Amino acid sequence: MTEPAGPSFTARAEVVERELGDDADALAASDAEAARQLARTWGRRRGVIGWLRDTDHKAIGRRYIVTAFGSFALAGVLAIVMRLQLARPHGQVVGPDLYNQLFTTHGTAMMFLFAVPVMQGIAVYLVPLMVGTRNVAFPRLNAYGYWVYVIGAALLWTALAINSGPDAGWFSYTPLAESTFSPGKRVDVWAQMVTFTELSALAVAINVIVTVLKHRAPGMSLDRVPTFVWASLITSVMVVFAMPSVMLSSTMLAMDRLIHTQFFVPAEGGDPLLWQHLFWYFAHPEVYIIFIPALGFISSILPAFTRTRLIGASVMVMTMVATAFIGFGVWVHHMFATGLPQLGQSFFTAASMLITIPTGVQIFLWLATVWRGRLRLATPSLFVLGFFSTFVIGGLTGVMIAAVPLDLQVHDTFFIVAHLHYVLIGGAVFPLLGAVYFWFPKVTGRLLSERAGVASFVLVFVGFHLTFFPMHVLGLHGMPRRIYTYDAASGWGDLSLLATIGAFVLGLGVLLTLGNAITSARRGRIASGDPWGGDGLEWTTTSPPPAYNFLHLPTVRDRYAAWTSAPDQPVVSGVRADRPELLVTRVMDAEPDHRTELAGASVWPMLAAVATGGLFIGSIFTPWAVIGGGASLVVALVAWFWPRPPHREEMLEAKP
Amino acid sequence: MTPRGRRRVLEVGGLPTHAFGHRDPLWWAVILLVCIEGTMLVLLTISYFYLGDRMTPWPVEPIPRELAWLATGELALWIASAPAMAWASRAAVRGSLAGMRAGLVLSTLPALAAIACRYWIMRALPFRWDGNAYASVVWTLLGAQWLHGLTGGGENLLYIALLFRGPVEDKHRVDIEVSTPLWYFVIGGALLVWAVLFAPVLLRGSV
Repeated sequence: MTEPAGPSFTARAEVVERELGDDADALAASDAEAARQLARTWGRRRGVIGWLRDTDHKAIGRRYIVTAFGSFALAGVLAIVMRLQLARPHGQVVGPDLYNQLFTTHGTAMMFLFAVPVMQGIAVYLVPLMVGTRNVAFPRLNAYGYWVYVIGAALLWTALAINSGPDAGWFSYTPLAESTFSPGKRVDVWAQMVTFTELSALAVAINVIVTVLKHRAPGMSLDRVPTFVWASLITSVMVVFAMPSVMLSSTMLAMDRLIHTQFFVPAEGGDPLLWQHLFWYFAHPEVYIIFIPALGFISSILPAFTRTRLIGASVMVMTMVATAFIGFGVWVHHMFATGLPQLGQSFFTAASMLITIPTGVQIFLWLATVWRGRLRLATPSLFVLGFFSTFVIGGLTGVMIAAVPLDLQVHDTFFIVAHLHYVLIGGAVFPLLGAVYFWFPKVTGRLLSERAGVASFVLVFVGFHLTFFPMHVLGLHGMPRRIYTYDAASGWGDLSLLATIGAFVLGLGVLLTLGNAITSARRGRIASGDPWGGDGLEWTTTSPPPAYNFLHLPTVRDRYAAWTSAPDQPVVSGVRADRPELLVTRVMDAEPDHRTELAGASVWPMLAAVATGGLFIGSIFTPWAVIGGGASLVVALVAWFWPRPPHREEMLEAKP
Repeated sequence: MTPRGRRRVLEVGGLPTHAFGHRDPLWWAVILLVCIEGTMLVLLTISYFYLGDRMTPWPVEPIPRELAWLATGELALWIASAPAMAWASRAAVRGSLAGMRAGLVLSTLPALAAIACRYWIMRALPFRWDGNAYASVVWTLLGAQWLHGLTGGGENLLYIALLFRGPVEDKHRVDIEVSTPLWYFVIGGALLVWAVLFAPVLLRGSV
């Protein structure tokens, strides 16, 4: 391993050797006093109010992850009920109306309440630790995003519980989703839930981007940024440009239904295909918004479990950028069946096939890393191996349906259901479960049971393929998706039964991991700061990290900061411990630039989220909610931004 | 190796506690907000032309010429607010309280007038949002950009209150300076709406 170059710092921030006392005892006493002061500044108050006010990125990240897995579990239960209904011809478990609500809520929850938020929650937790800072750039915005998300999740699940769950599919195609064909409030719930939960995704995206660009540890120039942080940054940029599309389209749909605009009503000049364009312009990038963080997980897990650097780490980052870029140019392949001009078909087929190139490069880089290192088999690396085989199958069926003739044959069949689950579960959930086993000790300070982990992996892997592989065949045999039952003469019964058995095995595997997490969080083996020999800065602090993350803000001299830290690696000094102060560094080279004080904990972001929820949910029932909710929101925002007591030394000389 | 009792540190205590422009994290947040809102406005504009490509006649109901002239006046008011905002921004960097106050007041006054103009234009439109898809997209474009104006104007009023009430800290100077791109975005949005909806009326007569 070649010795990487050390950091070079600005003339205004120099490395000095400081005398802290006569001996090591004096050094320890000085550290203990610093830790006490930092804990007072960054720790949260006790009690419920303290919990509601909390803006620590670790608390918010944990809440995102737990809430998202809650939705994952509930949506999984819906999937089991659907599989029971389809296990045999003429199933009687649920009727068609409830079945419509089940598949719509399942898809909506998995995409909007689980897949994106869980990836973002992990980024919220890990990114500040990985870049060596004490919180995200805008902690109150971060808290606001979480509370908005919780209210959105509560809205969807409550609606389903009272038989008002959305029932027009997770992409709510118009004109079906218009009030003429979907009267009542079910689609309104979907539209408003989507609109305001995406606020949360945008809040996280802004936080991640700014934290990565402006709060990296000195020395962490862009070429030394850890791969997961790159993945989070690229994902967040995608969120910034993709989410506005779904917020706009769901607002247009809600307005069509609530105040009778005519965007998607053909009789009044509207166009249902406009909905599809706006929705898929968001929803195809969304697949990569879910998938790219998973690339970051794998690129973090493999170096730790092969004890070698990721081969072609910079190429990996470039392929992520390429994937994100091309991901915005393929949305129309979801619309091949709507009838496109020849040129459009050719362009979007080519673009869809093009995206396999960066993905192929990524797979080969990981394989090369495994080849060069010595792979240690444990639950995280097992899930990575499961990803390889599963995702490659999903990728290959993706290439198949990028071709228009084949797409037209299998459109809206179970072949598509199989493909999307291979890509999303194989491509994102397998690495996610690996990531859970990998970083759980960091978050909780305890290790997950390895025996239960391996058993969970086997059940998930076997159950997944049992469930979804037969669906390819069912689709090729013409079984449409979203039907609540079928006739025995169709011949779909046996494979459907096999898929249902697989779903139970898969469910058992997931349940085992959830149970493992709940019991290990209380009784698991105590984890050291770095139980895996990881390479990132997050492994250089305690498990779980203190409220202030690092006693001394670190400096780095390589992408693999923990592996390459010199014995006398300088630490940052001069950032105040008596205020929530962060170091701001330059975008490209992470040279120290200035210091900035964060806003402290506050209950107002939570109250602003309640006002936002009131505005959107209330507007389903009355337009006056926009006035009432808007006024409440303004009050909450003014209180949120109300100036804190001033620091005398920072007041403008010419005071009014 | 560092001797016991000594530690190598990167001393940053002498660095300033604020910075302007792209050096400040908030500037990046403002730019990202512009990207988000800008994407939404651009997609809405694309939707306008998408619907226009499929609907005949287009526009379904003409926008009266006098409203287009009023919209031109509104745009002029927005543009007139830009130099004053730039002045406020430069004053913030210099630390001139009087300059910040004057710049913000002089940029906010024409903006408030422009906001009132837009309200009047929407009230005077000869069609409602629920008439047809054309009416829906016109109302939404006007309304969305109006909301941007209201937000920008509201924010400026809060800054003005702060500047006159005090105490003013360095971080407030940074807030005012980094919010300038958002103001220019609002002006850009007004220009876009004018170019899409009103300029064709003036160029081709009442279509």
